[in-house]
Amino acid sequence: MTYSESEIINLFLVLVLSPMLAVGLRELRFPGKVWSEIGFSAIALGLVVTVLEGFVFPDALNLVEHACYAAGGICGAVGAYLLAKDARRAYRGAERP
Amino acid sequence: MSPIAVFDILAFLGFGAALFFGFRVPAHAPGIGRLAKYTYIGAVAIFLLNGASNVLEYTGVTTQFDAYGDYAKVLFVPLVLWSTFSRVNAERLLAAQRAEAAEREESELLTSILETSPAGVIVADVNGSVSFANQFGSQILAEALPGQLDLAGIVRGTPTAHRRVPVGMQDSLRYLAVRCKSLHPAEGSASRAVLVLSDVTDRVIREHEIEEYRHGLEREIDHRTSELMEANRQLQDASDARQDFLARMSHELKTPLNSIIGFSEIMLKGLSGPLTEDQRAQLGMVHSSGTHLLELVNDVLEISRIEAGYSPVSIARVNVCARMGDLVASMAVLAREKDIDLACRCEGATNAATDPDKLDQIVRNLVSNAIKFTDPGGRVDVTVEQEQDSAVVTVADTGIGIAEEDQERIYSAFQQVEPGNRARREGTGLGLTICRELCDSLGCTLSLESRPGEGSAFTVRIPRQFPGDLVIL
Ligand SMILES: Nc1ncnc2c1ncn2[C@@H]1O[C@H](COP(=O)(O)OP(=O)(O)OP(=O)(O)O)[C@@H](O)[C@H]1O
Ligand SMILES: [Mg+2]
Repeated sequence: MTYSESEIINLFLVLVLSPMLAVGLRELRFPGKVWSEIGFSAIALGLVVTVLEGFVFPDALNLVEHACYAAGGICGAVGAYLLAKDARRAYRGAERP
Repeated sequence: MSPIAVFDILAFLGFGAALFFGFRVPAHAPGIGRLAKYTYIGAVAIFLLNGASNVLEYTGVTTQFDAYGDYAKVLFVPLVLWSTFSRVNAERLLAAQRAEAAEREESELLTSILETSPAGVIVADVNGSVSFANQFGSQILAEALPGQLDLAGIVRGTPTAHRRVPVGMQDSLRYLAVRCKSLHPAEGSASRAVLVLSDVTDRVIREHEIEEYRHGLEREIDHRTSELMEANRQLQDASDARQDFLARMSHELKTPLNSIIGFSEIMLKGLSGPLTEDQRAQLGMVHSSGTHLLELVNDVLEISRIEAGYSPVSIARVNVCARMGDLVASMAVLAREKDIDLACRCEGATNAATDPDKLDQIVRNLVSNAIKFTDPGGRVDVTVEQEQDSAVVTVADTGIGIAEEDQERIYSAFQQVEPGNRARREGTGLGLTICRELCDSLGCTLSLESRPGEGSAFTVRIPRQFPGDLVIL
């Protein structure tokens, strides 16, 4: 039964704000969107699992939590790379038609 | 190293890379709001921080930053949410601005088209009240006198109608072509229509002018026609008078000439008493001069008749060979008197549809010329031949011949060749003229081949079918 205050706030934020985020993201189109979404979902899962590990399977879920962050970082990096590449190309194209 | 440490290091590197790429996105790149970019970077930095504190913890350096990492994570989700919605809003705003700009541009375009248009555009409803008028439209509305431009009537009329309406004061009257297109009426409002008015004053004026011009032309044509008819009538009168004159002349001249010739002949034969030698000689001159004069009168009359068109052609099927045989026989005496050998030769039966009397006249002229211009002891040969579609009569002599330069001249009236030192032979120079005229009226061709000193050959080609209108009398 060990969980910190911040973990509970995070759980609350993830559960409440994620659906809103999904709605907002539906309207946007940008390169690497899928990667960014997967990255965010991985982090959100990680935040949920942090709270769960205080109740059940502390070691296994701790491992899952850290794996989720790792996956979030890597997917986020790929998404950011694709976004940056496309944005720079579009920017150059806009400058020099 | 524990798997957890590996995951943390991976997360650290991943977020580090994401941060790096995030900074590389140009702040003004299209489609990405500046705010969105930096909040995204902030969100990533939070997890980078968390990863860093975890790595420090697991490598046993310090656990001091653990709490910061945990609290920093709280900011992550709201920041991503904020970033996303700021972008959504930015894009919405952009789209709205674009739509507005496009709409404004379109309406500006429409307005400038309407205002610069040379046609008047008016939007009016069935009650005649105007809801829009472009520049020219307003001008027309201002110019129209009450009752001239019945907008309500036009709008109520057919959906697309053309009409011409005069507008303005009498001295500055304008004609407008009105085209009307009704609009779909909005709920509850009176039905409206767009009226397009174009100024067709010039066209109307020109149409009036053309109409007047046409009337003028018609009058002119009527006038000219009556003039022509009058001229025609006068011509007819003149030609009637001419024919009358010819008939009278031939009678008035020939009757006395015939009595001169007849009575001198009687006296020469001694029927009215004996004559002295001198009297006989002088009477002989009277007789031959009279005969000559009669021939001359006949020739002149003949040529006048032909030229005036009073020489009707009567076509018949003619056996040219037999006809020429008879003609030559009748002229044998003339030839014998001059000691000239005159012969007619036919090759096969030759028929042609032509006027026999006129043909006789032509050939008689040619033969008499041949005899006249051939010295005693010479020959004159008349040959009749059959060609593809014509009968050919040739009169050849061994006479004095005609020089190349005279060969065309001899066909003109009163033209005679005066051969060197020879005495001029009697005649008037009308014979060949008559021949040519007759040939023309029969559709024949008359040609000549001659060499001075050796003789001449005149050839008449008679088509087997008469080419002109048949006049059978
Ligand atoms: N067979 C011919 N040989 C030589 N000259 C000719 C011959 N036929 C016509 N001519 C020349 O052509 C001229 C014109 O001939 P045409 O028959 O018209 O007149 P004419 O014989 O002199 O007079 P007319 O026939 O009126 O009595 C003649 O004067 C003559 O000089
Ligand atoms: Mg003659």
